[in-house]
Amino acid sequence: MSLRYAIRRMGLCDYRQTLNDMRAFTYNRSPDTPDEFWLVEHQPVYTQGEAGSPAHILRDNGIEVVATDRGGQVTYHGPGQAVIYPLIDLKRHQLGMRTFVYMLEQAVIDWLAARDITAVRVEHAPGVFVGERKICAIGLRSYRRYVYHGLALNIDMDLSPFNDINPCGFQRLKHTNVSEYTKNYSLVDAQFGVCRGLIDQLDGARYAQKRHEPETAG
Amino acid sequence: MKRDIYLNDFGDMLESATIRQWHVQKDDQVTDDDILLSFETAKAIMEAPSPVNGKVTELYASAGNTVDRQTPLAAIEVNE
Repeated sequence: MSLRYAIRRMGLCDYRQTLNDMRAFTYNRSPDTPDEFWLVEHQPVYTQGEAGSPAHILRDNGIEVVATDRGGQVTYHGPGQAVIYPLIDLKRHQLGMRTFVYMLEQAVIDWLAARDITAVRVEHAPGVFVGERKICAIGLRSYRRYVYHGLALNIDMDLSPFNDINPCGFQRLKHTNVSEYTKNYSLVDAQFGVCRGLIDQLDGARYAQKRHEPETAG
Repeated sequence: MKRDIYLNDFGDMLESATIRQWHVQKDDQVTDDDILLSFETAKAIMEAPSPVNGKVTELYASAGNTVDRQTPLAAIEVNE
């Protein structure tokens, strides 16, 4: 089977609508359905993980909190954040979730490195960090090995709504934007660039004789 | 034949996971197309189908429990 991907640039989207659309796509897809990448920005919204603790929402600042079905704790989405939803069939790519999460992180780290921004993984703290400041959040769900939800990379957004939550369950976690480190960026470049990096890894993994398995992930 | 089900049956090489929800009950008949349970790792919730056809005879782990890869999650009497 040849690998085909559809990349859909969707612009500024309402979170609930996108969530409904992702679920409809995922629960109706078949083993023949091509993988898709949805590139979006969201209007301001907090999203809570399925098993997320309400205690991590520190105060009501008027921004809506939407209950969702992904893993992880509460996070914030808003304009100026590059959101990528990889709707991928892990079985087709013969990938485990752990390896897939590692690939997502790597695609973000590589895109940042190309702009001379050194980003890292932090053990027991999902996502991608520059120093101790979080630049990218990850939260996923899979149904019969079909992945949905994805990653959110802070490009040039208002970070202040993160102050009213314990993002991902961590107290006093600081956030940062790509725009704090470089002028060489745009939100759409980030979406397509990270997406391309992920596709390269997916195609590489498919044809590599021996897949790289992360030593630390999870 | 009775078969214990482990995290490894879902093909993700996970060290541990937290059970979120059982989608079956004891004594349910399942096929390898039925969702058995959902569980969560640090970043992902996975809704996982049964690896075998058979009858669920035990659910060892409850929702909220964190289990490692050595711990059986359920037992299924596999259809011959």
